[in-house]
Amino acid sequence: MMERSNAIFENPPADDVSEQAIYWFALLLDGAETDQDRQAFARWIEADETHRQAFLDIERLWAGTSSLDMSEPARTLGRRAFLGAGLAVGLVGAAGWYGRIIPHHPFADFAASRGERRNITVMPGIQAELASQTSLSLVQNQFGQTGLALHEGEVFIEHDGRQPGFFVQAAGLVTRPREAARFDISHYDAGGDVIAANGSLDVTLNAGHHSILPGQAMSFAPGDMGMPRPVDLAVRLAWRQGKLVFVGDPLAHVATVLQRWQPGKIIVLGEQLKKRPVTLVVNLDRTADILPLMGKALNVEVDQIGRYLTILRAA
Amino acid sequence: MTQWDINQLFRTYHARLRHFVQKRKLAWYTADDIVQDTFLRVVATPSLPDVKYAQSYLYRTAQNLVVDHFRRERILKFVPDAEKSLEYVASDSPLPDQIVWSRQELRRLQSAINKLPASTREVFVLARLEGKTYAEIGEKLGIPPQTAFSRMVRALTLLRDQTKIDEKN
Repeated sequence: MMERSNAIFENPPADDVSEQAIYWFALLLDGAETDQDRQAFARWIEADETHRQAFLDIERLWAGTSSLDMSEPARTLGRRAFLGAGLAVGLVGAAGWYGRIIPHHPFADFAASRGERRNITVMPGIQAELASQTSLSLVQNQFGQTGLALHEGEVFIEHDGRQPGFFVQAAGLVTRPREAARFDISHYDAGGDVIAANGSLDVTLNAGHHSILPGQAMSFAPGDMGMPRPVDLAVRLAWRQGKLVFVGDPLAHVATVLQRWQPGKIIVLGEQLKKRPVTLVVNLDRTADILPLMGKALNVEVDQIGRYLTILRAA
Repeated sequence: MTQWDINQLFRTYHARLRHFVQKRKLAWYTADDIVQDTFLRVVATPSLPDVKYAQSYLYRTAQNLVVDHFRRERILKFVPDAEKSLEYVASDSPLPDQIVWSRQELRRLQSAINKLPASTREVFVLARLEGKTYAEIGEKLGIPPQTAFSRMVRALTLLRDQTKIDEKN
């Protein structure tokens, strides 16, 4: 059995029932689930008829693949050409919209589900506020110091100085508060940011090192660090007050961020539209309203396809 | 490509497949069901490989169904009211309506599998065809089991989304 806390299962893995069903199906497929997982699954499946149906749908999907061709595309071109002939090409032209569909890191010690903000005490003197779809685990380094691994998402840490060896690692980057500090780290596929609100931070990645002073942010990507730069803390940390603030941000970025906080995917069609600058304040308690409103404000057509997909296109 | 003669294949492989399935310690009626299901799937599958691959194809499909059968049985044990909650799983019917796929649906699903990103597909295939666990997949691919799990979630999500999207078009 893989060791992990059952903390994640106290919350459903995603707002979307179908995504929850996928999550459960994938977890149970392995056979390495814990007794707690099994009990949580049993509770979930019995909680609602839609859960049962969603799980059966995924079972059916899986069963449907039992007789299909899974040969390697590159090695069987001739055959694949036959198999693929005349098959429909999917709508999914917007590259990257699959990016954030995985609802959770299933083995995390702490997690916030989609749309949720969550405060936790990690250890004495360390508070963490998790943004939507964030997962964290406790880790120890080779010196026996305890820290956090941010698997994905965004977390705001308040460190009162009682844990001198404390660190946060994300995508190879290690962040250490020098003394008491309040800071924010985000980590998504393409990289992330470290923001110092109060107190200074030391960040290291491979052999590189930077100091981040209060009011500064630094971007990082796997294997790469940017330079510390001034940041508008009120804008950047507005999520903690239940708001998302965008100031002249490209619509594609706005869609990506919104997607982290509400169910379903948002696709922006058209390169021009993706780049269109948007200035907007979103109330996170009312994200359902935001797309229609944004459509009106930006003169953009908003097509909702079921509960899963919203397409924005130029009117 | 030579056309498949299902009746001929059934005559040739039925007994062998039944023996193959039965070795997995299934009740006889389940073994028969699985063999029957295997041939029914062959009938439904729109894009069959060349008939020279028929044997391995039939065995692989039967093997997938056996693995699925054990997985369902395992899950049933910890769902208290399983017959109500997962009724088709508990059904005696050899091919419950809920798992029947039309040719058109299978065509969409095949298309979706073909389009899976390589790294996602790799995990999906190892789990689907070889029944590997996330730990085993992780070891084979040099990735953490968590990543293998995430890719499986992604694969299922893509397959679900793609078959739904194509359905709408």
